[in-house]
Amino acid sequence: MTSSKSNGTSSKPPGQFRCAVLGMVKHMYIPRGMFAHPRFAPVVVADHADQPDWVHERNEKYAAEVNVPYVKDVERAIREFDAQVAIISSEAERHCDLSGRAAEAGLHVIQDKPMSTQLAECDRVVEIVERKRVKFMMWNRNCLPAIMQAEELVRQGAIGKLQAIHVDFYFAKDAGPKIGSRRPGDPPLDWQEALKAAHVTGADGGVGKNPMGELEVEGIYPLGYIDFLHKSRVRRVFARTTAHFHQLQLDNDVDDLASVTLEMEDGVLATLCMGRIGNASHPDIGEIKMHLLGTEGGLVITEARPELAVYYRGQPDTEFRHIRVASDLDWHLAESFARAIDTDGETVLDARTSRAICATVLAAIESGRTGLPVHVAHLED
Amino acid sequence: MIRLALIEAGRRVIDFASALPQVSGLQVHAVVDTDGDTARAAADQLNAGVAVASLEELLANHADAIDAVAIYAPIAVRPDLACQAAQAGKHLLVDAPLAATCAQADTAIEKCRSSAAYLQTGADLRFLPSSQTIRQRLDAGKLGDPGLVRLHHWRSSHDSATSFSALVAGEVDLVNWLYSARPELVFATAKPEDSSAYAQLHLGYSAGGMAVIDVSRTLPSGSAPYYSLTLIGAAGAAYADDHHNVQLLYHGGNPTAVTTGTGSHGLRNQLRCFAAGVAGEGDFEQAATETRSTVAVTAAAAASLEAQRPARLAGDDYDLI
Repeated sequence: MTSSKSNGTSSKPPGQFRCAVLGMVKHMYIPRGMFAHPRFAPVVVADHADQPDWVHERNEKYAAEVNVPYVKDVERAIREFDAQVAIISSEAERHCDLSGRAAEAGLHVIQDKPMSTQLAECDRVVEIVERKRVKFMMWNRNCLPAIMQAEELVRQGAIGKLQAIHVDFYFAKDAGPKIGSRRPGDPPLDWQEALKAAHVTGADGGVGKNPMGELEVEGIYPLGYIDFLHKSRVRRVFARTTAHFHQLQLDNDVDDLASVTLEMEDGVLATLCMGRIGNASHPDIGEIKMHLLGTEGGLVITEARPELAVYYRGQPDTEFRHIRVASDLDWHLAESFARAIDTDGETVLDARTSRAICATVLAAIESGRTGLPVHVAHLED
Repeated sequence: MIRLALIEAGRRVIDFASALPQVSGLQVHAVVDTDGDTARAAADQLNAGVAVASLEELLANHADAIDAVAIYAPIAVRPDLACQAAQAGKHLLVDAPLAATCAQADTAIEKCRSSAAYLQTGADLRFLPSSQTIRQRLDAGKLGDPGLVRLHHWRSSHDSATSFSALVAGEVDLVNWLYSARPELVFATAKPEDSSAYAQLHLGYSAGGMAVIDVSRTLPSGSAPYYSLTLIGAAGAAYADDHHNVQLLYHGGNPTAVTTGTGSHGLRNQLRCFAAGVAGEGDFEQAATETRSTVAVTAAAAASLEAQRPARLAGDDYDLI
């Protein structure tokens, strides 16, 4: 595909999108997932020149992995490498800066979660994306087979009109030492340093200067499910949040366990329970389920299915016993994003929806701190 | 032998008939139901010699034939029935909640105390084999301090719950029991047009503990109930989920899930506990405290639902905030 950086309404036949990877500092599953699809190919890795050495090192490493140049100037990289799509996986506080720059330059954007640590930054990206008429997608898990099946069953009316949605989202990864492990006199654990160190295991989704709880880092996934299943805005939330497992979260005053009641504008109710519950608490990646109640029935969905079990002598504790199979999440997300560009259609999780989810998360965090229900600040309000 | 009178047990008679053969030292000797035919049919099913229309009639004519009563009447009349039975020196097993208000519960509890009548909340869920196992693991310190209890409980539209309080009380009792405490914060939401059909409770316990409960009786008539309990502790987690306990039946088309249930084990365990309590092995004050806690939290949830605001623990009761 040639250098069209328009809104994707070109009548040219489908071709490959030239992708700039911006701020490639944490887990690499997003660019890897996108580049597994034949429509997307890396042409450059870029970041701002004023970033610290560790950021440049990770960018350089990834650029070498995919055999493209690393450029310490985002605008120049976009311009000179004729990029059409930006893939952003930086620290959370830089997500919207990079997304905004890319969208302003006419690039379609795929961004890692969370959308931002500040709602105003989300607003800015929504404005740019809509003004420039580019496509934006937050990385999500909506295209996992069990989630798509749930959506299809709901859409077909298998349980009647949806009344309540409940999502359990427990990741069984550890996040460093358990609570109580810090010795008297030792300094509190440093958030950014700890998350930088977690890069080797891929558990560094919250890397950045600003500490973030599990709700803020991962909340987009289960809240994305709720939005996927039922298109209604969240009116009000009530939440409990706490650091129950890990010293890192306790030291940095953020949650690793949270529960949220959600009241939707159309009267549908929902709840979300989530946590970084630790390796000891689940034999696999974690317990992730949805319970849906409709006027004519109920539906219980385990996100992990289809899966198979493998056990063997000497099996490492860190190896999952149950292995997900036949998941084409990456392909579906990439395919749907390409289709959205080709047809000027909707993405699986667009900027406006992602912003609404971010607002819901921030309202829940406030509710957790105050013990009071909090109304969600929507863009149109 | 403890001779029990069953008061307005409705469809629970079937469960009693199944559970009683495995409970030593307890027999149903009387059935009370305002519908005479229902009372006689239940008495026949349970081999009970007495079938009467009211507790007054039972106490007037057969007081010496019973030692205890099990009350499943609507919540509005439970406190009066409990007081009558306690006044007559009968031990009490009362479906949760004992009363709609703490004042009513306090009166009934005091009557039991002064009459030396044992009192136990008849909450099935804490006596389920899964709940008992989780509690054992908690007590053994295997799971660490509980941080989150997540409970889904869906039943069909034929379920007997007739009010919001009746819908949620058993779940409240279970969660309080798992935390060995009552929540400091209570927030309730429900289906706007019918809070006795669907409700959500969000409870906050001390040290950041939390519980999220959704209870429904909206499944289509004839549906098997669905139950799921997850407890996340600081050191481990437990998952008791009907989803894990279904079998597949292939008989054309998509397979049908067939539940492998636990039968009447919950009621059996509950009756054994009651029998032990009556025999002097129970702790009346602890049982009374738990009974009152269930009433207080259920009442706070009802108030929260009405006001659409959370309620916070203040002393023995809750204030809306």
